Amino acid sequence: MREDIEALMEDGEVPELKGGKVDEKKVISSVDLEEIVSSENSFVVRVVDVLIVLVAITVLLLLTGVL
Amino acid sequence: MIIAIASGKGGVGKTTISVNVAVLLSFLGRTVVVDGDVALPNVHVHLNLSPPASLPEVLKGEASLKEAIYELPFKVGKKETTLHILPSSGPLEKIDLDGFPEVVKELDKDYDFVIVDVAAGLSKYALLPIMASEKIYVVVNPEKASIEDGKRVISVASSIGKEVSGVIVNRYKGEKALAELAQKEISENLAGIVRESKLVKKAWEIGKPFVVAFPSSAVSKDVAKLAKNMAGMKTEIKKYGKLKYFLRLA
Ligand SMILES: Nc1ncnc2c1ncn2[C@@H]1O[C@H](COP(=O)(O)OP(=O)(O)O)[C@@H](O)[C@H]1O
Ligand SMILES: [Mg+2]
Repeated sequence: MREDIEALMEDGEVPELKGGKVDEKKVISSVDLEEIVSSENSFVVRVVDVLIVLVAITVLLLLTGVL
Repeated sequence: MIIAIASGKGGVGKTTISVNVAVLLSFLGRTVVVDGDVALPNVHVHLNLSPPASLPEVLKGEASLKEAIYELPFKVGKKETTLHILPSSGPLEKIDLDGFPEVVKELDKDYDFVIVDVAAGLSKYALLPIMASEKIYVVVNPEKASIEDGKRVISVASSIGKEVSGVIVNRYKGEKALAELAQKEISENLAGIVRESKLVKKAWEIGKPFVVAFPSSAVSKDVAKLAKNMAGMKTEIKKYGKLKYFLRLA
């Protein structure tokens, strides 16, 4: 690689460029990007989990207090 | 596929878009971001990197491509990915860009998506990266002056017989008429609309792309649609109005 670039630097020419060919078949994965970004935010999920546990404990305490 | 992200003037969000779209494209194929803005490089700043070797060293023959490419692991939601970066950094000196097309062509053999963050305007710094690209997207802001500036990219591209593949409207706040103007003046293909969002700056402060820091935000979804369009999966881009922007209904 290094040699290639050095060789190029020496002759200092802008190399021939290929035209606007687009190789879309190269796209290999079929994941849906919109799904990836909309997947649940784990932080929010954790906060909700903590809240549920807190509510459950309060209810339990209330119940035991009442009994 | 070599994709140039270009603009008429700086500050419209080229680097922000290049980095974030590249993170998502990396889920579809091997992706590298090239900081083609060698005069004012800032991809590494967006990603909190201080690279010891970068594109200028490669162009001078002082480093190999391998030495100048960095692999960054990212997590978007629950999915993991790896993005490769070829940054530009170092002292401001005259850099000979003549070898640039060959460098990106070399990368094209190895990667499915080569995203080039191009310098703004008409300089040689913009021309060579654009010459090397197969697809050219122009980023504009929803302002008349920005769209006018974006037209420069069309002239740069046509001077070397290339066409602009699409327009990206960034920092959108519901300016429907201006999005239409951008389509009329720059490219019928509206590849994406990326809304104005405070999260962009927040993510920047954390040193992470916003699609990583805030994956479930609306602005990340905008980038997902843009990435799909760039990858050739046609996705409809809605030009919503101001009310929908403010009420976050879009
Ligand atoms: N969609 C957006 N919403 C809010 N701020 C943005 C948005 N896109 C870009 N910015 C801000 O605009 C500024 C310029 O962005 P940058 O990507 O560096 O532009 P460029 O590379 O075109 O010079 C940055 O401060 C960035 O945080
Ligand atoms: Mg930039």
